[in-house]
Amino acid sequence: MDAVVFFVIAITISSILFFYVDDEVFRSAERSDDDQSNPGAILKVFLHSSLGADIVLQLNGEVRIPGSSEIVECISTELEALALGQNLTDFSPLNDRLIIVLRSICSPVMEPFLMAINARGEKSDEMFSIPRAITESGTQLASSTRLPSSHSSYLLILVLVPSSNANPAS
Amino acid sequence: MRRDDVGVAGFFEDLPVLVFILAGTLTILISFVSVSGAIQSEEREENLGILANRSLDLIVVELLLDSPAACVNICSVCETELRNMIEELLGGPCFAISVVMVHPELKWLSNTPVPEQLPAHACSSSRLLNGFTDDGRIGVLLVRVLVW
Repeated sequence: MDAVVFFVIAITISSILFFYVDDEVFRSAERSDDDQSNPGAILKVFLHSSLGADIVLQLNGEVRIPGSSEIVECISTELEALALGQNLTDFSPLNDRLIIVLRSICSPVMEPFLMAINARGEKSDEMFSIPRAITESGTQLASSTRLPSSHSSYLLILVLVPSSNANPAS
Repeated sequence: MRRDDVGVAGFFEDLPVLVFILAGTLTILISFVSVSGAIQSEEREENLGILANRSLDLIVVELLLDSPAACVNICSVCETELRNMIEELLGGPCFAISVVMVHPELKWLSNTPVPEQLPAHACSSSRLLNGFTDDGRIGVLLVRVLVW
């Protein structure tokens, strides 16, 4: 009987030890220091980089945006135009380009979603969400920043969803 | 209680008890050995992570040295200088550096070779930086350091 009790205690002790090691390994995996999976770092370099390719928009007339334009300026202009009643579809070429740039910067195992919110006082209106609204559940990483123009009430939110969780575009 | 010679005692009767005690002792010993091994390897990886971060910070400081706008001049990325600097910090060639332009085009700017036989313990760290291209556009650089 004493031997059986000793055996049961031994099994319990080793189970606790293995559980502790598993937990440590899991936490060390979480410590990865990779800017490509860090939405704050991605958003920072994304906003200050150039579009990279010329874009032509059909607004009231043809508007050509050079590839050397800074992304933060393009987004500010788009948001001002949307606030004045311009259609979001008019900016599709620009938004497609923004998503291409985001995908090239962030980790290939992550799918980026960019949202712009007009936050005035207690009210907040979603201005756009590209490439589409987020419907995925599960682990998501996010970071936000206020557009650096004067009197700006626009908040940009970058959400990274693991590609395995992201549904194909609907 | 009575006294007689009917009782049975001997080596074979104690065998089940011995088996239980040996199995219990072995279980505890094996788990202690594997747990201490895992903890040691975890500590080694943590130290490698700290080294990778310090190396990366050095590289970023070096790249941004002459750039007040926190924007690297892509033409000035010099592999030899970066290698020498990190070799001085780590005291040996046990690292690899890669600098890749990920936007507006994918372009390898610097890439030190990685040994064919990768070590069991290695840790990497990466940073994103803005950088001026030759044609005046602002691109994005990915700087990664792998330490082993």
